[in-house]
Amino acid sequence: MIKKIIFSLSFCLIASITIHAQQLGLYFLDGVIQANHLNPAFAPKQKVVNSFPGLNAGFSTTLGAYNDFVTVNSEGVGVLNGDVVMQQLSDKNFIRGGFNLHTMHSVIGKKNWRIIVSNSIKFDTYVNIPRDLASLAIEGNAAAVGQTFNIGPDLNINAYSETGFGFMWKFGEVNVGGKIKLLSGLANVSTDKTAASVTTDEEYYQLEAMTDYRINAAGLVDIKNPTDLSTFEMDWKLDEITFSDMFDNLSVGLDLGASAKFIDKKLTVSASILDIGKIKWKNNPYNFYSQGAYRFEGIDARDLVEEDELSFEGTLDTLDGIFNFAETNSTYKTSLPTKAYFSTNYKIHKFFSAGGMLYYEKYRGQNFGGYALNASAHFSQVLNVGLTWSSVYKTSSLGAHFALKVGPVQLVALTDNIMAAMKPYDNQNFNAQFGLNLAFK
Amino acid sequence: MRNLKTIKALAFVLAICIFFASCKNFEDFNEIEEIELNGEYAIPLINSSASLQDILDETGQQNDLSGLVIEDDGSMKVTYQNEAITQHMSDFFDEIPSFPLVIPFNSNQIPFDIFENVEVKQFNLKAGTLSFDLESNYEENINVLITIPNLVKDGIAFNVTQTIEYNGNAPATASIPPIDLAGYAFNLPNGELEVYYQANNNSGDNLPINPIMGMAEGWDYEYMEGIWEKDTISLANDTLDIDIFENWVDGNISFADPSLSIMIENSFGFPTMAQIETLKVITGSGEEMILESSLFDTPLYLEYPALNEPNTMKQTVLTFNSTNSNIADVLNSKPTQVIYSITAVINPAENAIVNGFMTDQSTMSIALETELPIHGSASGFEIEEPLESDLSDLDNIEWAEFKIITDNGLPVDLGIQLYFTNDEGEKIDSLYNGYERLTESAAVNNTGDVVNATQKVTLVEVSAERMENIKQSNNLMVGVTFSTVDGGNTPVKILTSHQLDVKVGMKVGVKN
Repeated sequence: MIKKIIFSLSFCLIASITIHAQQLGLYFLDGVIQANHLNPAFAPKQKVVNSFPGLNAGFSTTLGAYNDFVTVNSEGVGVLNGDVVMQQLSDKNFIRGGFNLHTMHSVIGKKNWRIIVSNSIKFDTYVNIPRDLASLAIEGNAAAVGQTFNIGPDLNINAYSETGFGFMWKFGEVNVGGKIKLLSGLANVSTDKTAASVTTDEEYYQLEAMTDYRINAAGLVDIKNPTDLSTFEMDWKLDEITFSDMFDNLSVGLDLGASAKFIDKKLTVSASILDIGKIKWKNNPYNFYSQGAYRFEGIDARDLVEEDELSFEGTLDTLDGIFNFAETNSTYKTSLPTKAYFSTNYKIHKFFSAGGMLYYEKYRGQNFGGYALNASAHFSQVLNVGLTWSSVYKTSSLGAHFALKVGPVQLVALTDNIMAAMKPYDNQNFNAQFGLNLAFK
Repeated sequence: MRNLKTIKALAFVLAICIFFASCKNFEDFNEIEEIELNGEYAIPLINSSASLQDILDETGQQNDLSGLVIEDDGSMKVTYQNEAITQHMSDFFDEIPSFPLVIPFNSNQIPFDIFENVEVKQFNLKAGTLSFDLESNYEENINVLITIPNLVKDGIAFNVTQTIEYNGNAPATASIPPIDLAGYAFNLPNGELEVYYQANNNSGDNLPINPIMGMAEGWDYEYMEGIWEKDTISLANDTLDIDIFENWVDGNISFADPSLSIMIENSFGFPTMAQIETLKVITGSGEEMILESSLFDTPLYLEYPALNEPNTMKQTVLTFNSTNSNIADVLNSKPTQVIYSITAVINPAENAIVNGFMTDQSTMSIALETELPIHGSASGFEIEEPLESDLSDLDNIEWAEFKIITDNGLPVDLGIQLYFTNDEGEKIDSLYNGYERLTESAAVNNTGDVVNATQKVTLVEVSAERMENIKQSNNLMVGVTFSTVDGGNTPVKILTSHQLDVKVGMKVGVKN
């Protein structure tokens, strides 16, 4: 069973690794339509810009690089090394990731204003694994008899459609933008109560569980065996998505931004707040709630022996049911990961600029911060290349961006971690964005 | 301008290369298929609290013919009783064959000697018939009346009439078809049957005819009274199994006051004496021990019902205890079988005056019972019992440590050992060296009664080396050893109210 639990935890890890984090380097690409996702006040200079469907994806984890604790043995089999995992863990261990599939994004306007229309399908994962949970599963509780393990993981896996309608005004050297977003929840698995602890008694190792823990699920996902961690399974049905699903679980979100130029337009100061809002999950909701105290003191010896046969299956069955989840079908809400950016950028030379930015995110009761420093080279409006040093989730990395415009065609590529592009599983964070735009005067 | 175009082209190619290189790098994913684990886990295994009464209620042992018997004061005794061997009337006396009944004269006194060893005085039939063949030499019709005055039903003596019709040929014959005799009773104070016939022609003249040939067929009786001659018959040859010592390995156990009883139930209404031909035990070590008793010095006359108590069972119990026999030595020798052979002597005094009886329901049954009161002492008493178990789940377990906490309300020290055996049942290893005493006897007073329960905490370590041996085994053999308080020197009483609380926690080291 322990092995299954670890595999379950590993699944969360693997699932997250396919997904996203923040793109701090993109903030320094003012004038490229993709930057409009991070600040609605950022608008291309062109009056009509359309972005072809594009993708940005990434992940970030405080656990360490995947290949740090997964090695290949002599038989070519991937092996998760429990000892190494434990060396990497902090008290709280975050795995963030996701991808945004930008199906359409257009910015159209005149000299002093722009209308913004966009749609993205977003898949966003947040997992917070307490060190105690991993410690209990990997190291066990024998060395911590009498101590309490706080084991409730926090989880939010979101798939939703975001359709935005925005407007940007230009007042002299000041741009102000806002975008109202129609959010349609496609699928969600999340927790909204995460208190769960296990204490091992010193007498003869009785286990006492205290829980106030709730897993919610809604939309195109089914939860299988929620009461049994060893067989717990999330059955995503995103491949069964229909047009009507795009209008389920409707909610509204908001992005706000501003930028201003000073000192002969050499200094640009920008700020934005993104993803203000919540999604109410009303379609196909499930809630699995465990609350209370449960003490497992072993089973009756008479139940161990049946017809002259000794079996401990009863013990394991009883342990499986220790959390005693109850199922309901109530609607619930999840908050979007609200983020704030503040940046300055100074044009040092006709061809060069440098800037810095601060990043803050408050999500699921946690505060995340980061910063980035950027240096870019501009060759007319044709080519923009630059390097970004960023630090998010306590991991630092060197990124690069690249924007090339040939006639109306603009190609954009960027990453916040160059090394991860080469060896993604040797790095703790990675993101990349590719875009192809058509920009007309 | 040309440089700018070159830069554009190179940049475009570079971007495409980086894009595909990144995608390729994502394919180099080492999926987790195994986990290297080196954990140590602690879980509670067992939390049992049960009195002996709880256990007995669950097992239903007290309802069996053999098992634990609980007295009103809560004291217990182990009893073993075999299925009674029952002899029916038909086992002692053969069926009555068909036989002829010749009536030569008008008046006949015929001896009723259908049973060899019984002078029958009364005989109640529940089945059977009587038929007759008649023959006359007279050249006229003859009317015949046959009467048996001491064969009566509902107060009326048996009689039957038949006409021998003359049809021009002499002798003339006639037959009386089988007459059902169910419900008729013979009253034979002299042991003789009185049979008469009267033959008359139509003029009323009384004429002798040829001897009447009767035939009795299918006679079965429900009651017979008479005087039985002295006879010896075999009652029982049987073995009583005692499995309490079947798995005994070592040690001694002593029961304070064991007993062995022979219980004979009898509904035959004549004097009978039982003779014990054999009474011995086979011990756990295969030796024979003969039961010796002063009871053998006097005849064992069985109780039997009086004439006015038909179908009444009378019980005779012969109990061997410590005062009249060496039963204590015999039963404390850890017997596994009691072998016995008993015969019965009918009318041993050869009384020729007093009537006895038997019915079709008469039986004589014999059962043996031993009683081993749970009041005594034991020293290092050791038994072993195989127990099936799937040990394949132990593959990843490197070592284990058990913490065993017992609160013992029983006045015995209990030790447990687990032996690990191979396919041939041979012991490969054991859980630990020797026997670990897991419980400490409850404190008792000078009469052997429990005063206080005793707690004991035991840590049992199973090393990695031993665990390797355990993994090679397929089954378990559970060994249990127990001694009463004070090393078996003080007799104690075990009551159903005595309670044993067991808590077991386990730490295991798991590596894979």
